[in-house]
Amino acid sequence: MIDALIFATLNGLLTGLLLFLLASGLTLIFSMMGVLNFAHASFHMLGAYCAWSIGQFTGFWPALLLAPLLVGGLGALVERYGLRHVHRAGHVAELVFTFGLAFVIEQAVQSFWGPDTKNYQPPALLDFPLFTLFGQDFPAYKAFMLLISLGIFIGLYAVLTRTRTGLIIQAATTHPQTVASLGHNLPLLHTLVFGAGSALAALAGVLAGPVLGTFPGMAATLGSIVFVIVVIGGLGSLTGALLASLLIGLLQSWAIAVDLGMPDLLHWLGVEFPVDHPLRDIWRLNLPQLAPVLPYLLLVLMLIFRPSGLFGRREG
Amino acid sequence: MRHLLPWGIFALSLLLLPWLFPSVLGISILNEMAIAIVFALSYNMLLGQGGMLSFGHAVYFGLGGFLAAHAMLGMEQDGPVFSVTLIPLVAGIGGLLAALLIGSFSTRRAGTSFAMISLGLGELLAALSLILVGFFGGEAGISGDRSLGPDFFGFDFAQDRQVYALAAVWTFASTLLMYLFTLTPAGRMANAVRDNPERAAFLGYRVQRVRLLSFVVSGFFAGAAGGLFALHNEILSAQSLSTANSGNVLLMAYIGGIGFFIGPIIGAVLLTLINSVLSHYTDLWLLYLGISFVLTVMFLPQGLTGLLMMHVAPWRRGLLHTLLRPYLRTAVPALLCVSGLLALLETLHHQGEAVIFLGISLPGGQASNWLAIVLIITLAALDWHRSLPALRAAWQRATRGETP
Amino acid sequence: MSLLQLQCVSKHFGRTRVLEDISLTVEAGERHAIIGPNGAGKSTLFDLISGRLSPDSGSIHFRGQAIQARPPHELAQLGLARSFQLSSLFPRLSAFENLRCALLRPMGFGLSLTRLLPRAHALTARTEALLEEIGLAERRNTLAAELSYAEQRALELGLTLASGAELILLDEPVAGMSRSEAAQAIQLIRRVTQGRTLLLVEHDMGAVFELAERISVLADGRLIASGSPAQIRTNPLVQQAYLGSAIMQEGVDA
Ligand SMILES: Nc1ncnc2c1ncn2[C@@H]1O[C@H](COP(=O)(O)OP(=O)(O)O)[C@@H](O)[C@H]1O
Ligand SMILES: [Mg+2]
Repeated sequence: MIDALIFATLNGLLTGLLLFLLASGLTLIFSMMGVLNFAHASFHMLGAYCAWSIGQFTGFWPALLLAPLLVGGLGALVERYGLRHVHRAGHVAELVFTFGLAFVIEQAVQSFWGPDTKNYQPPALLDFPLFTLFGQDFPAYKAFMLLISLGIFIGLYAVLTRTRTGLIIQAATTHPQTVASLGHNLPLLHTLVFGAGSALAALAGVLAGPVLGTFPGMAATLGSIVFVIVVIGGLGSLTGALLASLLIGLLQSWAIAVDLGMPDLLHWLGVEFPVDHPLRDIWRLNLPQLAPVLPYLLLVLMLIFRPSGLFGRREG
Repeated sequence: MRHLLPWGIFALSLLLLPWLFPSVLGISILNEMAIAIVFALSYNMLLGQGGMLSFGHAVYFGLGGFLAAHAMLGMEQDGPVFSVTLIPLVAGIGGLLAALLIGSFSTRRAGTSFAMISLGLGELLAALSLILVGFFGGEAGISGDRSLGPDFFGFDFAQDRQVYALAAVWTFASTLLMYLFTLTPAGRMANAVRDNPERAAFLGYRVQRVRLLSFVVSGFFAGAAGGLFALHNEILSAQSLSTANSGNVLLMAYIGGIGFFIGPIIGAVLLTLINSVLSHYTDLWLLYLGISFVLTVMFLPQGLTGLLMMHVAPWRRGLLHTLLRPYLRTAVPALLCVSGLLALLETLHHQGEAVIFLGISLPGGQASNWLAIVLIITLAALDWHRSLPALRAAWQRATRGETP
Repeated sequence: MSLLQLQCVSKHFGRTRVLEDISLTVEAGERHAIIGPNGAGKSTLFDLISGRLSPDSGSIHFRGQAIQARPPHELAQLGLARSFQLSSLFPRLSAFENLRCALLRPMGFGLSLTRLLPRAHALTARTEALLEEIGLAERRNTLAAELSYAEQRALELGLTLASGAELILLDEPVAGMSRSEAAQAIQLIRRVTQGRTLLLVEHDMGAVFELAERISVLADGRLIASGSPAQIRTNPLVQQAYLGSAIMQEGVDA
């Protein structure tokens, strides 16, 4: 039991940090432009696919750098020639635009990379168990992912709080007019932040591709969860996004590890139930089954009891 | 009486279409169109009229559908209880109750928050539908037999034609009711709250209640559409309440034009056609659909209906014909350019093998072919670009009423 | 009992105190103007009274009920209507539709699902009449977003006056209008607020002295004087707050 919990915690932290890698870019883009980028997870997917394709020629390491750069450039183009054009029509139109973009990217990946899962492997250099605990291996690649995610988090924090550009970006999220009137090029800043956010998403994709699988549905599965995180954390709050990412990563991981459910609860309460009861599905629910539902349940509870999210500050 | 004309045309089309397309496939497509029209109109009650962008509208469609499937299943087990013609009503009430429950907290906000909540709830239900096998039937779904209800004036609804008759009546009635809703104080206040919730509050309206009312009415019609869908297919799977289905209805409404009552109808008809026709010709049809959608959002925010309506002013002035030549001038290079792009995408998709696309065989592989295609695209695009100023000028003359 | 009573109301945004210890009473039937330099806190005061903001301390009573924590829609239902300094309209509805929305509740239509607007002839007639009164009859079918600035101001006024509320709060109703438009608007305000209570913020001293029976002066978040127009004109504190200011000069001439 205890070993399962330790591994679940490690995996949960890992998922949480990966989710945060995605959520941070999304949050940054949202607080700056007020638009929740539906295609964010699609850039994540493009990152994985590009890295796989580039990796065919160069191997893993150059791809780790090249794929995010490529996707970041694509993101910047999308902002410059797509989103900016739609901006006039308001946030709802922008959201619809990014939704369409996500749709197009998913279809494009389907069409040009094929519907099957790609055999995208961790690099040979990291393909060994880092340590073995209670007879279970912890792969070195996962530790590498953890390290990179942590590094990005610290780097992002440092850039935002210590550098001039970071301070301008922060100022632009709260006082865009002031920043513009000080002579900073706000549209360019938007393009850069959007590109950087997309690159971060792609990096998360490059890292996660070998572990979580590289397939056309990966954007859809992850996308909704990242939105949930951003809403639970409070739209626009980086701290909230971090906490919510870890919370959801850990919750899901624990739920899978702890094989308890209604039958155990009922047994413990001494209640018997007939096998063909109309509500039998509910009597039989267990935690591993519920794991994929947990983020959304959390979202609903959050919205009922604390509509502004953990650290909410801005009305939608 | 002039405002009755569109309704006459609508009723007549519903009546005549099955005679024009009497094949099994034809009737089946007509059924799907009728269902899509109700669903898309109910969706636009939120998006176009109430300013609520939902990514989870299939929840109400699907729940209504499952309720209908269970109703049919119940008749299979317990014998005929009520007429099959009432199944969409049952489904609608299911959709309404679900919307009341969910709307009670999701309509507190509009905009991005509402959109995210609707997405989260859509995902929640989609995920739950795989767990709660008893109600949703798991992978297999729930199937029922629609012909087991009591006879309805000689109709037993075993054939698609009879289902079409039922769907047509329901579609006409639903469309009419949803149109009348736009004329009620509740419908008008929904517009007001969409535009400026704060001012509506200062006029004495509880903003959430205004939104909730639209939401619940919309939930009813989405559920009814789901009920018709269950009757038509006689099987319901988790697919019908998936977020993909929610996205589909967004596409219909937006491409048709969310600013007009008729917009979603046009979108529903068009997308159903594309869905069933275009998919026979190319694997990439969803990609093309997505690209058209993105282009619509960027360049035609009022959708196809908006595009049509733009021509009303020149038409009133009797100047529509002056646009014909510039249109043709632009259309030729535009079509060439688009065909080139399509050819490029198709060859890319088939990874360099020869493809037969729209009856034309495209040789793949050699670099010279690629080069030729790219060259055609570039030249056509340049010519297209050159033709635009003339079109723009003609357009201005036509709308300002100056004869050239 | 006074219709509206503010007791020791204070409001701050972050560290800046915008309103400090405001006590003010408005009697039923009175036309009361609030004047003061830009940034004095007049609009914030309206926000507090109308429920857009809630005060940090102090109490506000309307018709004897404490209203400082009530949401705007409840206050509107209690009989309080306000206009906004920056026009707050329904941009994608026509001028006619804007006014009709404002008339729905006062004319008992609420959120009805069973009545059809094209059949509500009394409502249509009332809307047309009001449209005429605010001088927008010609612009009946123009979207609010496409009206000129002055026309939007007129529509803003129309939305507020449509309510038939007991207490009407107008925030700079004639700012941005031409002289003749302003004169017309003032006549309209005078007529519509007959037998009602008006609380008015206005920089146009001509309008203030023409409409108001009582004037309160707000400067730097404090109420420095309150009295009849004659008393205010000669009040040394007011003179000081407005020292050399052109608006007061204009008021003295009027
Ligand atoms: N939401 C707000 N946040 C911070 N300061 C505000 C806010 N609203 C108003 N203020 C400040 O409060 C003061 C009073 O504003 P306002 O009530 O609009 O003045 P007036 O209407 O008398 O011109 C001004 O200094 C303004 O900058
Ligand atoms: Mg002001």
